[in-house]
Amino acid sequence: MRRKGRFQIRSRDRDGARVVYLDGEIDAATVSRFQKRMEQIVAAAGRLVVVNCRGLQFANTATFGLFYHFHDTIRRSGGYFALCELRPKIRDVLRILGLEKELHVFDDVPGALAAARRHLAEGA
Amino acid sequence: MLRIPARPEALALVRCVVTQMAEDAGLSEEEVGKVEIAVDEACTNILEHGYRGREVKRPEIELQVSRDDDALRVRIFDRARPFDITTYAVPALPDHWHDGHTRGVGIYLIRQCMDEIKYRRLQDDRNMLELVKYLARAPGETC
Repeated sequence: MRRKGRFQIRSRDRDGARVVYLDGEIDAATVSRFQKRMEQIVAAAGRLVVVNCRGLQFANTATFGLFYHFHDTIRRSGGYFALCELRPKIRDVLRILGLEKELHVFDDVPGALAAARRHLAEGA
Repeated sequence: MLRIPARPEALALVRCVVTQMAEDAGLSEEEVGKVEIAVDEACTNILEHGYRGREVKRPEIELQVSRDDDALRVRIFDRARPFDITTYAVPALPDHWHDGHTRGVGIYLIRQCMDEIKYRRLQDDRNMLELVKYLARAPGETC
């Protein structure tokens, strides 16, 4: 029953930000692992976190709730959390759940990083 | 008919089946995505709420996907506690997120994604949830 490698999460530093790469599917079987790993990343990261969702093939509603939670957590500490490269069906759900205007969403990582740096510069 | 154990690891198979059936029915990519997540949310609710704390010998979910001229119909059967999804009060968005909630919007999403939702408690004590997605007609096509 278990399918190996259905969800993977990794991250690396890039241009002063922590870029997170999501691959596979986040559902009831994998959302706890997603949450735990993201909590570690957010706790260790600086003020910029960008999540690249190009490899994200499915996300349940709990995932979107967590996206907002991490956005809010980082925002409250003066930082910036962004999503990028969302597949159309992921973006559709973001819109349906009223999150498209609540979160920072970009087409790609460079766009997200540029916006994040502008945000931090304005806040300095 | 697909019968799966009521475990999170089985949801990927459910999504695979309904996605394929939705694509075969000619639904657009957008609509296929909506069917996929709606069915996943419905099954997740059964796992996480319906069967929780309930003594059932072999908790399972049965999925029946069919297509007629007008619609794709996904019927989900389970032996969990009764729950009429059609009467559930959905949260107000985006206030729900602002108030610190991270969950509780699955039913709202199902209602937004599907064209009809029907619930029945069957005589054999199973729940039956039917999710319906209308099929678009080709231009000029009549009933």
